[in-house]
Amino acid sequence: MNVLLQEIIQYRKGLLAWIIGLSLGALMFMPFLPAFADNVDSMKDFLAGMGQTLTGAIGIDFEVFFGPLGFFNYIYSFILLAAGIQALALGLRIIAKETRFKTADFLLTKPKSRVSIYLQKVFAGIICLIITQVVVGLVCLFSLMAFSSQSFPMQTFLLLVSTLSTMQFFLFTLGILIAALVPKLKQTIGVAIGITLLFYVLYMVANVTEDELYNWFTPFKYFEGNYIIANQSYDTQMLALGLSLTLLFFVVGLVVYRRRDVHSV
Amino acid sequence: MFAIYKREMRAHSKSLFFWALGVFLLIFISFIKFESIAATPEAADAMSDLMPEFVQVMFGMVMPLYTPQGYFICILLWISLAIFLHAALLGASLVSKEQQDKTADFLLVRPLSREKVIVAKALAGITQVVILNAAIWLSILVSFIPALSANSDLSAFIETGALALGSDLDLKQGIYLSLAGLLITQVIYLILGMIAATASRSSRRTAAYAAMLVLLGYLLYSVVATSGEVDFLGVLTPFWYFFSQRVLADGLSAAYLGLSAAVIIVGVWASCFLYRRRDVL
Repeated sequence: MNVLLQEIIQYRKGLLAWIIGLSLGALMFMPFLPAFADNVDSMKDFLAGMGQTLTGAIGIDFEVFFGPLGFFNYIYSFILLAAGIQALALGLRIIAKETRFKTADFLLTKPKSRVSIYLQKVFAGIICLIITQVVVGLVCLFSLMAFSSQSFPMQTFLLLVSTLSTMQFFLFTLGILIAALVPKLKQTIGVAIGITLLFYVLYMVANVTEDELYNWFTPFKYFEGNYIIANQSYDTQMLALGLSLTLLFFVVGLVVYRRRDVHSV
Repeated sequence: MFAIYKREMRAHSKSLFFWALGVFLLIFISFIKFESIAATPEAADAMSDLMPEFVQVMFGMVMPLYTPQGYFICILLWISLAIFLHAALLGASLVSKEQQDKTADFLLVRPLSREKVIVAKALAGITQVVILNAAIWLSILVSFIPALSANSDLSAFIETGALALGSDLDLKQGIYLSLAGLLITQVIYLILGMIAATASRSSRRTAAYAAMLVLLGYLLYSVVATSGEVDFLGVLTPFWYFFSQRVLADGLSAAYLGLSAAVIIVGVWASCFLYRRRDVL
């Protein structure tokens, strides 16, 4: 338990900073919701004047897609990007810092198996991430309620918010695996930003070009909000892929970490 | 001095390689598919059109994405977010790594003034951002430029984009100028990262400060680009100096070129000054 507690204590300030930053990010966009709703209304009038409905034009449920949740989903991808960087950086750091700050032999000479250390570190990270997700989810819920004049289906909202968890756990375990594989990792935040942005731009390109090949390579597609809005559920195939990759990263990370060579100072 | 330069180049060679590779691939996959972008308004595009302007600007959708200009501006904004972060983090790490790795006293007892140490490190940093910029250049050269000329249907969209921008600048020339502007901004962020590292007390938090500088610049850019009335605030955010939309329309602005030169020179001087007086532990 000591390692777990120690990790949480060490991360508490960073955790607080991330939670505040992510919450502010969510709050910053919500005041735009009324303006968005106005735009949607005027477009509706415009189309009605031409004797058309939007549902016919784009073939999905208009009220949901252009309702408050549609707006929220659009903004949320941005929050997911930032939260993804947090998770990946945490995963990298929680493993890499022992070699970075030369505390690896201090830790590894304690009468604790490497498996136990690894598991405690992973659970410490998961606890911190869950705290983040709960706070950010609540902030999103309350600000959306405050700024939205329409009601929205709670189940879809919860599904949307839950993509934060799946995404963060995916990137967290990916970070752990990378840190276990690359022992001399120095600057974790740079690597985290690079990889997460790569995934995000891939996601944008996948959306713009509508080429299905790209879908397989970015977690933003595994847990995609647009699909949830349209279908009120996850894309089961993609969700299964994402979750099994998460599990795979976790297990391979354990195997590598248990056997890897750690240099003394 | 040359020894420090060489050492810094070697120490960052691996990370530079992966950044260059990543950026190259990123741009390549973004642009190689460009001609397959349909000009039909899909649901997602309708969504962007309905967003308030601030959100559109922040996501880089200042022009319709089916025009080559609009797509280029959008992709380049995301790329620049990444490589400015790289530059700022690199600048910060060049200075603070000596303390983190506990090699500072080894370095500072060499018969070299602290100013020379900083200048050598800055030169190494500049070389690296130039290499990264070259990777972007190369990638655009093999993906976007051929895509532009290969598909004759695109010329109509190029016209639309040029009309929307109100520019008579050749698109290819505009793209090259944007990349040059990008390079200057990279150097500015590199120097800002070095200042952040020399000015902050703790050597562990410098990366966070450097990253924050970039994010603040990004936020401020969104405000300036949305309002259109507070252009003078653009002086405070390097994102705005050579923002690709403005470069595609009017080329590099002479005023901002002068400002950039001033920022870079004063910045190097300031980090020398701060580093000389720094209590290095």
